[in-house]
Amino acid sequence: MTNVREPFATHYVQLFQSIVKFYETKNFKKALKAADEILAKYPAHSDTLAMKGLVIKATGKVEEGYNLVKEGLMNSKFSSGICWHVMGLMYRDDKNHEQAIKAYMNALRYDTQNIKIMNDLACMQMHVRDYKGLLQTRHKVLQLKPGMSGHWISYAVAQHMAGDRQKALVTIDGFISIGDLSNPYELSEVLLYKNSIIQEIGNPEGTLKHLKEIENKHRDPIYVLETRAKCELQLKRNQEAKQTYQALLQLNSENHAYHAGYQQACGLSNSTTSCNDDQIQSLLNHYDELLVQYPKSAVIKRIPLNFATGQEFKNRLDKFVRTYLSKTIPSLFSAIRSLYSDPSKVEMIQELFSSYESSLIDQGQLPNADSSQKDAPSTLLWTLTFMAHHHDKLSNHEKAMQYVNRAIEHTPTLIELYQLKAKLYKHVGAYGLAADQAELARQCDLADRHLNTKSVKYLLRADRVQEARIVFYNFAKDMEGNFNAHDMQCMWYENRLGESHLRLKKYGQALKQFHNVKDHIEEMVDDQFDFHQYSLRKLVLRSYVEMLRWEDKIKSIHFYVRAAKNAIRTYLSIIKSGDSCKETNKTAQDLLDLEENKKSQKPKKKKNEEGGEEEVLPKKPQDDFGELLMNVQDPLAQAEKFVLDLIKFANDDLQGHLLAIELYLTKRDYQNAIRSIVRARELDLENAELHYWTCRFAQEYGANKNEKDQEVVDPLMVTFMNGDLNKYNQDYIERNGKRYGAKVSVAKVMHLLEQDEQRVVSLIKDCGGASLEECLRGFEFGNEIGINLGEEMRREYPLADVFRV
Amino acid sequence: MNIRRATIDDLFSMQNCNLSCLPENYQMKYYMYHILSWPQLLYVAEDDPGHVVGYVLSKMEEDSVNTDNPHGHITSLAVLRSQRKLGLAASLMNQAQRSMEDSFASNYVSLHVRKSNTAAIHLYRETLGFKVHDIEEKYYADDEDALDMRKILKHGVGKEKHIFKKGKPKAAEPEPEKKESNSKKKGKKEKEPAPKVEEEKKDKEVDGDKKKKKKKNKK
Repeated sequence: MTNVREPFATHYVQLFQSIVKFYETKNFKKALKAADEILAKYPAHSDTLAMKGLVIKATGKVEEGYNLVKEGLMNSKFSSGICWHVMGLMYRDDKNHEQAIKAYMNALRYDTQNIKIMNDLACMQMHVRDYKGLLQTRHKVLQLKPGMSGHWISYAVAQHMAGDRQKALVTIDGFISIGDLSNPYELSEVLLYKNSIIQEIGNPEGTLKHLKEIENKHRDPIYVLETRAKCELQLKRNQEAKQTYQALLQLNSENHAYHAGYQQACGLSNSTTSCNDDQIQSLLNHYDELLVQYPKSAVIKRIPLNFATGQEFKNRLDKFVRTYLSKTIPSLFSAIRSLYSDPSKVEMIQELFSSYESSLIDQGQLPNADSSQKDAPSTLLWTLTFMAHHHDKLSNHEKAMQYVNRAIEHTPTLIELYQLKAKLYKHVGAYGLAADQAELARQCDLADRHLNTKSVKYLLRADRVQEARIVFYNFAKDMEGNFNAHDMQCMWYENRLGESHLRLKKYGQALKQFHNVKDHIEEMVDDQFDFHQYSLRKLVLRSYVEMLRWEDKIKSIHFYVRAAKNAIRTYLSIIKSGDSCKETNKTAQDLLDLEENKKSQKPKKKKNEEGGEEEVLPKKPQDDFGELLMNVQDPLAQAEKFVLDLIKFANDDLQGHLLAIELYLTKRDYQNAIRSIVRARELDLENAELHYWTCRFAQEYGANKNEKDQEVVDPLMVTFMNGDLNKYNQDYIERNGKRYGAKVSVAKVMHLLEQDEQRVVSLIKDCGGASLEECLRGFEFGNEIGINLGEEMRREYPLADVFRV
Repeated sequence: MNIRRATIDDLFSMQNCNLSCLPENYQMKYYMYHILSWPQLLYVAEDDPGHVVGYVLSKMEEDSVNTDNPHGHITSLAVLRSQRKLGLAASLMNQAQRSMEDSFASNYVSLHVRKSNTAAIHLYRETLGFKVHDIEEKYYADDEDALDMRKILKHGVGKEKHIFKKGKPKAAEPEPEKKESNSKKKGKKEKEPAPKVEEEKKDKEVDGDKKKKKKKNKK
């Protein structure tokens, strides 16, 4: 039996080293050849077996690869550092972080001074946020080789992330004293990283002092000025803050934060709603002065509109708008939209534009014109366009449509108008007509991706899925002509495509899209891995730390939140529909479309070792219609994963909590259901849907509770409901009777309680003045109980697709 | 309208804006690579409710950084169609340029733009002072030519000959699996081959994972 630890003859040592070289340069065939040569002589050589396993795995034979490494481990009686390290590498590549860490730690037991292994381990520990382990590892490395400056800074970052900020500062100083900081940018980044930690500790004076110390050594004047300004304001050193903000404004006069800070430093009121006349005047003077200094600044002209009132507001608005009209700037409405929260300003805006309209039509000029020269036709055009936006904002749907049609008549070539008309149709539920308009707009400029994107969105909303894909394909393809929405992480498309599938009861296809979004987010979490080493080398550390924190809450991004909610809805629908979802998931047309779409796709190729090409096999099975996802054994459990994410990362999202309530009710998990009810009440106490779910909860809980539940639920429930569900319902309608949405919820509850059916019907028929969403809810409920509300709904939204069936 | 430096929280919006407006797109990792290497060189423009309506994504040319001719490069620039005529593109470019000067002592900044993209070329040449340096044939995925345009920054004044010298461009742009779509886009945007981040870093990272430790022979 060959002793597996026999020292190698030199030839074999070189062979072994060559395996490593060949592996790293991806010459797997040569690597294998070398490995096999060693194994011919030393068939049980553990380290070679491990390396061979690594190479084999890299060629795609994953299981065989792992088996070889395990064989090597066994042969070495689990005491080969190299074998464990290879194991760790393999787990790392497969993103099995926990096992990787265990393997690395084992490797270190036998290869105790191996810094390379420690660095790999530290990266993994950072990746999984094991700060305690990370600190230990980095500390060990530093102790072993304190002469390498990189070890100091790595340790400092570990201390910082573990919360030992003061110690991190000390370590950074150590780094600075021994490091090679000849690169001025790197030095700057390290110093500013140090400064950011001082700030985090909450020491504005210390921050300022340090900034002064490093003022000739840093290379980020903007960051330094911004930091100085913030600290000076914090310390109420207003004179200094004023000067700093002035310096910042010189560099960028279009920055709101600078203006807000400057305002504060000048002792001016920060509120836009509750200023007295004197305060308003001071603010106006302040901005008028600034305008002299920065006559071209759009921001300085806009901010006064936020706090000016009465005639002053009118005059300034007039001036502001005329500039936009004369330059035909398309974003006029967008620029003043935030003023619409103030009804008095809305009135003045309406007056102003009405006066423009009449003056332009009657006299061909804007009111109070200087000369007799007529305005360009575009002035009327953009006035009409604005009015369309304006009425749309106020939900005067008919008026808005009238205005946009007049504008189109005036200038049929203006692409924006068709986009606007699409939006107006969307707002009244006429999704098909909206898509037609968006397509009209797109046809005007096929090379403009923005128009393409809008069109795809509208087509998907109108459930014209194949059409949308064809339009989207004009841009969403790679060099070989393959549809690449997935590669390019096009989450806006995936969410909307999924939503269309969901509407059409194609639950498997829907789930596929929502899981795509989840996959992308997971990719982005993985993406950070390389940067654990990269950033420590580059020393761009403020960014690195920000990135780590961003990753920690990445699931709060709206793409994911939307996908999670959609996924939950889909799973709940699957449960409700039972076996019928298998029928509805794909139509004959879907199969045809898939064939059609696959025709233009070419298999992905990659270069292989001999310089030829081979096909890249997809990592997951193809599941074109999401059937694997749809037919999963435990849809509730799958949905719950998404619910937990929403509760953790989107705790302010009411819809998320409503879905949680529904899920937990389905699961009969009353304890979790009531928790979501409590949170939802904090967010929107009188919300109509919440009212319905609360009542439904009360009813089901009442019928199914057990002792354990009572302990948790009753103390919470008693704070808002005393058990008389009927009274609770009636009280709610008394408080909220004007809103149609509330009426629908109350009707639904009455139906649950099997109460007066006539009253139920009269409640849901009373939809005058309701919003589109409220009408949809009422209509849906009507269908559930066999009442067709089409006539009533068409009175409110005559063009809406869903009411015209 | 608000113009400010991009933070990591803006990456999703920038990626989404890019996907909506331009045919040349990148994966999130590439945006991360930019902000983790040159955080001073990313800017966004937002509208009143705070949505990103425009951005500039720029970098320093990696090979040039420690030489006597460091220069910056505009990876990607886009402004939503609905927010044009406000000078946003120029503002974003000016901010990025200034940061290239202040933080990296950049001699010049370069960019690529489609030969047919008259609107963008006008912005770069007339408004921002770029000059055409070279034409790169069939640069884009759909074989369209690109203009290689350059603008001298303050550190580069007096070094024009150095900057505008013709000849083979330095190391060819890394071109691993380019994840991009092709198109006949004409808007004021341009593209850059998107190296997979690992490729780039492999050049710098000499410690390929297993090399050093494997050399140690186990006794």
